[in-house]
Amino acid sequence: MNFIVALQAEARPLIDKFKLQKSTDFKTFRIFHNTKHRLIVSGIGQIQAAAATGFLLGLLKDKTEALLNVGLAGHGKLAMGTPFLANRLEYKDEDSVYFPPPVLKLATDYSLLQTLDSPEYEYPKPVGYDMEAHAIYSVASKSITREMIQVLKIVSDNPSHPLDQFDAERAVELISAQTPLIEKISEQMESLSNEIINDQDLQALVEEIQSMHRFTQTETHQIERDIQRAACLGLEANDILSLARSSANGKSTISSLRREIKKIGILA
Amino acid sequence: MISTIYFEEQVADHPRTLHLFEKFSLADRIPCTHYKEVFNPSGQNFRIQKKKPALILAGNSGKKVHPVPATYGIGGRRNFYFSHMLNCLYDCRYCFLQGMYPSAHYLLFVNYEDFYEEIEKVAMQTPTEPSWFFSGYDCDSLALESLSGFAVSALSIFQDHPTAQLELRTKSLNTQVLEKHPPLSNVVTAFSFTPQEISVQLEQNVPSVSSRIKAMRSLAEKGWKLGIRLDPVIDCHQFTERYASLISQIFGEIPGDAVHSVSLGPFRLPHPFFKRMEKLYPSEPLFAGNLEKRGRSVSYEPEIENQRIETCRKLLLKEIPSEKLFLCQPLED
Repeated sequence: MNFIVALQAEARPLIDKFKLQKSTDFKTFRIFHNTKHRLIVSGIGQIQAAAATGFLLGLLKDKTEALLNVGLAGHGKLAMGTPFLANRLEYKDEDSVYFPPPVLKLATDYSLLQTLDSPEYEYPKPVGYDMEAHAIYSVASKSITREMIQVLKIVSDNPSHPLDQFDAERAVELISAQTPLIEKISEQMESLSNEIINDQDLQALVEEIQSMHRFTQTETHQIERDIQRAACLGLEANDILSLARSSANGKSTISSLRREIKKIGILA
Repeated sequence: MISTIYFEEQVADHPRTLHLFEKFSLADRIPCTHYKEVFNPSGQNFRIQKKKPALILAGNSGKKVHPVPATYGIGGRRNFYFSHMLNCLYDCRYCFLQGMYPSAHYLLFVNYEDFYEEIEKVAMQTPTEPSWFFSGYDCDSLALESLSGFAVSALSIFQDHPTAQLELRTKSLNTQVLEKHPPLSNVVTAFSFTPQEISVQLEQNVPSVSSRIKAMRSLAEKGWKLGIRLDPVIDCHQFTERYASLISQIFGEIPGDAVHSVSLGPFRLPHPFFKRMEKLYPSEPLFAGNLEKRGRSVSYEPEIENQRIETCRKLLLKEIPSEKLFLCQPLED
């Protein structure tokens, strides 16, 4: 699970909640992690956000990994402290509008979110205002499955409490109050991600067999899919391994496996 | 049931849009300029969306009635299909919609009247020859009737155009609209089946075979014409026993004279659709089994396919005359 936030103040509650450690491997962006979570602090604005998203994408193993942008936002209607998931992301009058698919099962507010180049003081519409989300989605959606990218904002200012200056402690308080919700979102996104992620045990089996023989590029893909097919038709990992061991080369491994699949490849 | 509604701004004030806003008053409403902004982008995951599909309300401004491939049909010479809705309530693993559309959201075109206008025009091209209109290609014709109200409005149109023949294709028990309406001789309600043992493996959320047969019997008693669709025919263990049992169960309960037609179709998918579906469900035994690429399609090996279709054909011909049986052949090989 990956988080992207603009400010260190927005990161702090998440670092505390998930007991994240600062990574010393990277100098470009501040990155914190534990075994299950990773957090990057982008800095303010679309350019910083896009750069941090790109950097983060480079660290991902799989395009099914989830990414949640957490941050503060102004809002023309919602009360201070209200969390909302963005359901439509806009930037100026550009055509590139994004609709994060509504896959989470949560009783929370949803709102349109406009990303701006500078803070909004007038709140002309009953929508959210931030400075990063559109850029994050724009970059992330080129690599990650769209359902796995969500934007959660917490209202920090509105027409009754306009933004005059940024208060780091207030930011920490607002985000801290929503850590249970963030955890719930995180769990749901991870659960969805797990459904579509490659089976790790199977992947290990594929790698083991690929290391036994030489396979051409095409055969590499074929053996991967054939192992997957054999496994889901009920052939045990040990039997698949035995077949590979008893084969003279990559090509004959594929042939042997396909002969086995043919025997069992009928629906129960 | 529906917690998110996307709507094209151009249909925001359409009576059907307003009705659905009212029906799903708690749903989050999100405007869009064109449905393709939501439905078409690449990088969406059909499998995940299928868990919680949203409803998209749009207007169809393009061509609405399309010719059906020559090898499909149930006896008519002029065959067309139309899609007032894309995607389905059910989740059948063999369904081509998973491979065709990037999104699993229900896309409903609310401008039904424009569909009817085009249907009338096409039907009037041959005022003395029937034209068949198939409504269940891209959605189940009845499963979301309580949401769309499409069938009820279509019946009122088709009752005034006797040469226009309508096929409603479904796996749903949602037949109240037909139960309440006097039967129309130009409407066939066609139920799709696979044996119950296959259905439980591959057809998520679909009512049981026996409950569908019960719904059919009730329609037959009201005088509606029925269709039976064994399409796709799925190869499986105990194939003959299972299909024999299914066919005997259906014809044990449905009077033969209520059956307008039976069609048989082998399992086949366009290759690109198959690849996408295989990627979505890499652990699905159906996709892992003995299928092969033939031309631009993926299907069972010809020998298996021919055997299975022939088995079903023989079983069906014990129940119905050959003129009621139609084989839907793949178009390309």
